[in-house]
Amino acid sequence: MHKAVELKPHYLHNKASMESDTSTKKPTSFWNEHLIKVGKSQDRRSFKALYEHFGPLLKSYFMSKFPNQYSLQMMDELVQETMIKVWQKAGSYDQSKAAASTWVFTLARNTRIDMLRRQNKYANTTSIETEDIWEDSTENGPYHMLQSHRQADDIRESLEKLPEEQALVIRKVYMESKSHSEVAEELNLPLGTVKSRVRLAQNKLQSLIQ
Amino acid sequence: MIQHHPDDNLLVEFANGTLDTAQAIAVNTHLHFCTKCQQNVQRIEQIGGVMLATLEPQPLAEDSFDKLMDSLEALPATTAKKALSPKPQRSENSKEAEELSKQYGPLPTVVTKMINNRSLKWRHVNSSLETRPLVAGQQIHQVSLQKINAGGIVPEHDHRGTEMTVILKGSFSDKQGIYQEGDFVVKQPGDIHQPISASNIDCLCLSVESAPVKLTGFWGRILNPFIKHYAA
Repeated sequence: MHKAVELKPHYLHNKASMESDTSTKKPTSFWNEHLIKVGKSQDRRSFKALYEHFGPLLKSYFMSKFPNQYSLQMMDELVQETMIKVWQKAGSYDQSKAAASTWVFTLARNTRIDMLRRQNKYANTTSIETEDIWEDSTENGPYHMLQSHRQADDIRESLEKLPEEQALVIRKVYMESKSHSEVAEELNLPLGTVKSRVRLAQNKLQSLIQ
Repeated sequence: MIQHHPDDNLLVEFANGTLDTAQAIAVNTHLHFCTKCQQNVQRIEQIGGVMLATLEPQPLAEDSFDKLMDSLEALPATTAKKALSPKPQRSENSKEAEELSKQYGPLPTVVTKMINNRSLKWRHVNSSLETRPLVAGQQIHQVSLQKINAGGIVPEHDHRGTEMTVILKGSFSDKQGIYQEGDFVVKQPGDIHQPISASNIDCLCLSVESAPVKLTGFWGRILNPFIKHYAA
């Protein structure tokens, strides 16, 4: 068991550290290109760069969902499982449809769902795979969503500007992977309040994405 | 033209993987028809990607990358092939799934898989409504296909819990509106309605209920005991 780590997304508490963090200053295309190299030629150097950037973020993502139930080793295993998917699926990554970070986020989400489904005896009664329901970001639809560095910056800035109460709910929904009712229960709020905070925040954030 | 969509809250929960399996299947089935919601899901995932990069990085074990490469090398040699080829070929579909798609056009993958999963019988609820349970690998919701004959009228009913319906083919209407192919309809307890199918074509729907529907009026007194039996 590991102690609950206080996870501080930079946009909530620590603007300065974000500004000094060089990894977030890399243009969006930087990670896309590494991913493409892994897909085309199993480039290990690119894969290592991706691992060093995304691995610790993925661990943070899994830890915020499971702060106390599982060991740190288990968290590392979930990171490994996600990165194995990155390696195996990089060939189908299409940067015209999603930024590397978006794509990795969907793989991490599916790894977490896979883990929960493995523990659910009913899930084994079907041939439905997680990806049949939650598709990897770039397999879905014909859209070209060129995600510029500018756009990612805008979303980040907008996250920082959200009123604290909306930012908190949004973080729990996205990064702690909690359902609206779980958030309502945890924060002791009516479900309707959680829903409207999510909607308000969502409107602001989505309006930035064409 | 799709008029009825899942709301933003539902899409946010879907895209973050916090919706339970059966309801997620209903949303996925709607996405099969709806490019607008597909785009919204992509936007939510994009926000998720940006937020991921704002988390406080947590150190990994020092030798973890080498271990990862070792386990990748230990994987069967299919890795490279898998990476370069698109999705693996789908397994053969059951006779029932083939027949349904012949009759109603291609069905979403997840619906086809549920039909393949186990052959279960269609049951008549009344002369115009037939229903067939689907196994979705969960226990919280009742998932089923519902078929309303062309021009058929479903007995007026209330809902004991949330019911999500996605129209796969045809259309039906009730006092609240007309629902067509791809539409996502949510009914809550207290939403009493009497769906009527379009007169020229059978209406096929995917239905996800958190509790069985409750028939009201004359038919209810006659049919409720059967529905209860069917739900068990």
